[in-house]
Amino acid sequence: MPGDQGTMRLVADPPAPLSGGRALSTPSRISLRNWDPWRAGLLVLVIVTSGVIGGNLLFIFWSSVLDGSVGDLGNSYSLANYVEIFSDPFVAQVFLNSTLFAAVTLVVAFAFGIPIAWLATRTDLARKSLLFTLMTVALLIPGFIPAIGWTFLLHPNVGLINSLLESVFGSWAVLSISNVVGMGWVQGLSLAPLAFIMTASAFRAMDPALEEAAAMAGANPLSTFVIVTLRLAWPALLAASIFIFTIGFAAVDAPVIIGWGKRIFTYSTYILTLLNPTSGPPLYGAAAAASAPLVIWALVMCWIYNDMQKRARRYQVISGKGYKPSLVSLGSLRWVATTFIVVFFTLNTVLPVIVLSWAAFLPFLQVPSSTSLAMLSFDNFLTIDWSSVLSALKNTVILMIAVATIATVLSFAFSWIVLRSDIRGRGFFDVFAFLPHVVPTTLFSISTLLIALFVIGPVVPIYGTLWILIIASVIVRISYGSRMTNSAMIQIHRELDEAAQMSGASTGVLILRVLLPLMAPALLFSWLWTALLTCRDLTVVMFLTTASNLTMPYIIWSNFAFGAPGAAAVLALLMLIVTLPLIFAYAKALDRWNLI
Amino acid sequence: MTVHRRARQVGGAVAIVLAVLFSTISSSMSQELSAEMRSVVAEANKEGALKVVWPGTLLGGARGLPIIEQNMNRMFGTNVKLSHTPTGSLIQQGFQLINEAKANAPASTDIYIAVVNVFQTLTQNSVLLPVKWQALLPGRITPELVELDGAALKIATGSYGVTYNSKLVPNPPKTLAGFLDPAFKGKIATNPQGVGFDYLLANDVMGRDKALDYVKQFSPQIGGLIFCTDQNRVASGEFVAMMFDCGPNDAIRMKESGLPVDQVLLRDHMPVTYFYGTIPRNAPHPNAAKVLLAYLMTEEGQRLQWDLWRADLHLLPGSRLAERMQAAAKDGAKPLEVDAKWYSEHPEVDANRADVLKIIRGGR
Repeated sequence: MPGDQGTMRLVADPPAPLSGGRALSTPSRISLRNWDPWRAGLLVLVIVTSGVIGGNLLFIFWSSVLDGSVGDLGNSYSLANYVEIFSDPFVAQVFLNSTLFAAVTLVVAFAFGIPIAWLATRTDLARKSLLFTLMTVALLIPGFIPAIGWTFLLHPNVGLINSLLESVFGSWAVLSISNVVGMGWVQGLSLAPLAFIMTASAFRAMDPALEEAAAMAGANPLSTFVIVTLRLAWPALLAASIFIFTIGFAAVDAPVIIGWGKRIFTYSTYILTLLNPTSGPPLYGAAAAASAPLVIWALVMCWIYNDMQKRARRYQVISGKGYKPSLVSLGSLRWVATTFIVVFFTLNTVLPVIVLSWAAFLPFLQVPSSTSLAMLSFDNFLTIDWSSVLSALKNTVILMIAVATIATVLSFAFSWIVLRSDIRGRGFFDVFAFLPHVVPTTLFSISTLLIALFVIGPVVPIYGTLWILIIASVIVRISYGSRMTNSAMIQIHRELDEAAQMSGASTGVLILRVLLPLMAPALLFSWLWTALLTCRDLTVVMFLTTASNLTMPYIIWSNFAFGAPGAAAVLALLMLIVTLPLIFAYAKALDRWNLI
Repeated sequence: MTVHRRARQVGGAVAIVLAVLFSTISSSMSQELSAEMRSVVAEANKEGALKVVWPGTLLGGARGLPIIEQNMNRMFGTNVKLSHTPTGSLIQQGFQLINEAKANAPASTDIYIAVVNVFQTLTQNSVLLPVKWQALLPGRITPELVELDGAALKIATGSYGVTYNSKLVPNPPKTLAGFLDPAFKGKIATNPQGVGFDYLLANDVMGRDKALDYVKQFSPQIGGLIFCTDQNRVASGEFVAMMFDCGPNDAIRMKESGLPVDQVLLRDHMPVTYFYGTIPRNAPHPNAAKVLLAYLMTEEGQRLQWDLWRADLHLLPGSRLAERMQAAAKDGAKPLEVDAKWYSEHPEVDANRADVLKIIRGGR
């Protein structure tokens, strides 16, 4: 039966009321006093991971108060980096730009991602597995490609659409992508799939009883969607908004291509200039100090998020009784929905792929013209070092699988300890899980590099191996995974845990037979998306790659950044072609197991 | 069919002749090697491999390495296997090498292609290996090509100028003042590192006050910031020019491809910098690295560099770049040679660069 979770017996009974969490009896949390191997194992995983994350954070803080470079003898300490950064009015402008950019990014990502998530999970829309597949495809396109593509289309000087508009309507009609809002539009489009995936499982798991009750009470579909559906999905929406806003704040792609093209600096491009000085060593201490406001912001967000988690019962929509999601019939609105989705994919996927394909056959990136048409050739394919590419491809696949698997297991462990155990101070573990997302990945990568070289290097030589990439990637991806598993676990009523306990089930049985099956869609999405995010991640590999642990994003970026954009486009297309069958197989599996 | 057979026979004959010719040249070259070079070659053969990490377009990247490997082995009678890994940033690579040296880890590359700005940090941390370059190729490698007591060898020149769109700007200005023309307002790109402008800060060029005054006047002309390698954005017309570029290489290649791009060298500010071949002290294959860098300095190596990435060393006879620079000199351009010695003698450049960057990045 579609939507049936299989392992539970379903009987009619409404879920916990939206405002009535306290109306039910307080659930008994699973106590850690009764040790068993599963509980101990999960706690050890969480403590060790928190230790690794905490160690990195301490290292970053230490470097921010260090006068000089790591590894130098006789260093002194001061707040000079903080004073230098925060006494510069330019930094204030940078933060203002970044906030506006991140806000527009979030709005655009939600405007496309959430309606599509709802359509994909709560309606009778056809070809959902294809929709899920297409939503993941765009993620494999390197972020700088859409930025270049939109510059080709909407740059005030050379944009093709603008040329058309100007010839028809005159210069007043020219649109410009070269501003903060334009950058947010481009970045938001690329992050809409993330908004989709972070909310889809919440929508999918939602009990329709409350929506049906609202409809019975005379509410129209829009009111029901806003008042009931969105409120029930609030944990997932909050997690997604925090996550996407933070990504937007630190995003590099649109700010480098479009922002710098108009002398607009955001946080990421400012950090880039600190780490790539014209002379002298990279200013890691200053970069670490510059991330202080982000850390404070993250702590505030963690507090809000934790507060929401404390009231988690309000959002528990999967209970042991009567859980059976049903689908909304779109009727004649099906065409509107389909058109909306087609427009999104055209903007988000088709245009970048066209730009990518165009660039792959040109020696230099340029707008279409008779000259550029005459220059189309296969030369870029011949200039690529295919032995390096094969090695990088193999490493990338290993990295994707390892990082996605480890991060998903750890995310589950974090969620279980934070949401299902009674251990004191468990909320702090969630802060540890979230902080890697707001501290710039660059800094985590550098701290991992320095720790690997100077702290553990003599004992555990991981520098220059895939292990260092796996460890750093798991650290930076665990925030995403734990937001996904938190959102999924919050929605599962604790009465299921209690029922299992009453039946004498151990923690292992509870996890394997109750939680994992119910969370399977969220875990699978989390796994796939962690794999995809790892596959396209550049920051970690940029700092930790040597000749012996090459990855595809590194090769693509190094070609793009050093005058070979055509070769970069060829490799990006190759990555897309190689990964597509995996994504289609995944979608097929979701379809077959009724997980969509 | 007959034609194919005939072609194969001719091809085979040519291959035999070439093999004989190469082995003759190779053997005669091996015999002519200096004692120092012979010793290095012997050690390089023991090492058997060379791992290099540099940006994809430098020295032809992946396309160039097999050719360099074949020619180098032929010329010196070595049997060294080259492998190349592209990198994203020379600055980050320099930092990586410093950390590897501090941690006593093997260097991630046998050769580091350095630019003058990174030397101070590298030498402070004793990262680079001093080499007796002149003894390796006596007569060819002269003292003026070697710096930092043998730790840095000039292998190619980078003459900074202005890359411009020849369709949009058919007659580009040839002076700094020319680019202050209001017609260029908001239409010129520059690089976020302020490369080229910073050398104006030197006391014997403009000095701090005059340099900052010029950059302030130039600031309204800046439409945006792009990487040095983004000359395609000048070709597309997004910007009419890039001031300063990081050398003429890409502009030459683009022009040859038929794109409306060219480089102009300014009469009153023509910085001439270098790409340096350096070897980290902790390089796993230092002798193979010496052989490769020595090869790049030979007449054939220089010609190959031009073929692969439109660069060579203007200080060596037969340089194609020298022809361009001489043409600019005839037009009144005065080269400003920015090498490691010049850089160390002008600490005011590093000391005041932040002020230039503030104006370039923030219009302040």
